[in-house]
Amino acid sequence: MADTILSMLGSTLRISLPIILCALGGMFSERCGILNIGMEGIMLLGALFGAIGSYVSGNAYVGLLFAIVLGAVIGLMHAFLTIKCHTNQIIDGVAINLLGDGLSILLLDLVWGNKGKSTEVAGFATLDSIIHDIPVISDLFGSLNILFLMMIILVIASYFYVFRTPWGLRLRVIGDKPEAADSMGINVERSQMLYVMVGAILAAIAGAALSIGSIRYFSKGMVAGRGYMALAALVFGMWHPILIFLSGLFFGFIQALQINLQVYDFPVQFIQMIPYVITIVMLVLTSKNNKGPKNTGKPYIRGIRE
Amino acid sequence: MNIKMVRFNSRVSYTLLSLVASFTVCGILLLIVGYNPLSVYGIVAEGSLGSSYSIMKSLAKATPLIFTGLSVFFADQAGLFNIGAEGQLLIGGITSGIFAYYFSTIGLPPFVSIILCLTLSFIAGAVWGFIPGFLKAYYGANEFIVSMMLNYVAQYLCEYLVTYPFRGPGVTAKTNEIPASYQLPRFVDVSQLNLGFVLGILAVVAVFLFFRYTVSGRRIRTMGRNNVAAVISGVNVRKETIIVFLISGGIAALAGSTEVLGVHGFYINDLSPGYGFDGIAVSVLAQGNSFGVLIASLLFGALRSGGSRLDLRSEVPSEFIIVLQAAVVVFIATPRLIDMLKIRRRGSSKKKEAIDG
Repeated sequence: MADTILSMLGSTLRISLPIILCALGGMFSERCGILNIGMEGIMLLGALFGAIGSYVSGNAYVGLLFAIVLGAVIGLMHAFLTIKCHTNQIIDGVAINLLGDGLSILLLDLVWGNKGKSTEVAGFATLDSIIHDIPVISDLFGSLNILFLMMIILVIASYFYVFRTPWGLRLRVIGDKPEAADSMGINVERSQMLYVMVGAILAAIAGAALSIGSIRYFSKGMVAGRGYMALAALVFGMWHPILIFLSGLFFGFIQALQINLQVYDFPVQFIQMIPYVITIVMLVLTSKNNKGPKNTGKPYIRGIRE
Repeated sequence: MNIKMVRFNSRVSYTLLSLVASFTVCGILLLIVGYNPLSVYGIVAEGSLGSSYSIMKSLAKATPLIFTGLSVFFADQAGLFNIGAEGQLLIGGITSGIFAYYFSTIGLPPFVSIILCLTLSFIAGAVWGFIPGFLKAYYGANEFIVSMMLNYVAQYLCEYLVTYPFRGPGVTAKTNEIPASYQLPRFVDVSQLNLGFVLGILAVVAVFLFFRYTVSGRRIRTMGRNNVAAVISGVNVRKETIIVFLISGGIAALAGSTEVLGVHGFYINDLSPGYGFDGIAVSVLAQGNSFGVLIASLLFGALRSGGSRLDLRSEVPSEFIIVLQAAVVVFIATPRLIDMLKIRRRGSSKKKEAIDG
């Protein structure tokens, strides 16, 4: 029993990693006023590019670099379209998700000649090799890798950045009242472009954490709604890094629970539904008194008053 | 030419330019990864329009897109976004699959059975659409996330229903085969094109008339154009939001229903290869025009049917079509991109920018 619980907590940490990273990316994007519904697609392409980079070089770090570049490119695209061209942010997000669906299979087929799944690629070493002698600790953290440490640092750093530095204050002002930010002399559009790219890069890393972090291959549609779950974790975490971390852990726990419940003799479909249903329930419970950055979703156009 | 005609013409030319731009960008993408775009587009064109059979196939593929596109379009008119058409489609499909077989066993006349099945599917989809509408209206829950999560829930729910309680004979999980007379009649035996296509056109006309001539339709459009004005003029936004999601969900469910009743004759897992998401692209391309939904569905249906030939005849996977759709969505939703191209071509960028400020 204790073993089951330990291994479940271990898998909770592993599963929550991509959700937290992606939600953190969403936080930067939405705090500067730009919605990014395309997180799901960016994660999927990040996972693919991570696998491709790792496949061509045999080194997971190169895969990570590929994912980061991919995230930056898509982020730049989303930023350019929504900020400079005033494309509807939701529609562009939907387009990114479509792009992710199509392009991932196109490239998967191109690189591996298979439309379902890649071959095994190099992944990040797990911490198991370092800590496998320590009993409880190794059960909890053994299956994790360097990306998890990176995520912890990012969460803490983001908290200090957003709430304890002048740049963070500016970021929050841009999301709440871009006119005020503009009159303070902040270049609103440039900052937004930057933060949207940061957000997309984090989402792409979250995708890479799926493919080269834990299972070491890419398969079609492997993100399976985690990008949307991350958006829900963002709402649930009230656009606050530490709370996002906790809500991400919660979503990871639900997933781990779901996997552990599958051994029981009960229609597996109902168990697989659990994380999605819980997401809806959590969203309902937290949405009412929970207002995010005030100006998210609208393009900032200089000189136009409401 | 009166002002309406001018506007219409500029809309058409803008749409065509966007389409050309999308095909060009995706062609360049193909070139980069090492394929010949002209031969790829040639295969797609031949596969969708090359023979009377392929034309019928394109129309058959367009049928579910008319419904899902109309569903997204309907919500869009109210300023709402229904990304849940995919799940509503599945719910509608399984409803028809179960009831059509049941009605055939109790000996209901086929005509009555078909009408009942379509109605029940509409209701089931409406119930599925009600959930995000209600949660949005009364709890402020983000309707994208809720609808998207419901898509997964619908997928697993239908998978359960077709795997256990309503499984028909056979190796693959599917519902009992509906007798031919209880299916939607086909026009020609060899083609999947069926009466569902005509129903789709009727649905487009109905939605057009609804928005054009009914008070309720007007109210919904007012809400979509200016929420504040709608509230001031006495529109109950919560109630209308729920109504819109009910109808939108019902229309999307008809896509599943006509697929089951007209194409397959049973419900099967993976009934939809993403028709619900194609619906979003259709609605964007329609640009607020009911009949635009029809035209956009025909285009994307043709692409889907032509695209399926890519798997057989070329190295390019048929999923290339989805990338093409994404490009179309981006170009149509971003008038400025086309403006930029136009300005370049005229070589008067400075003047134009000066005017735009």
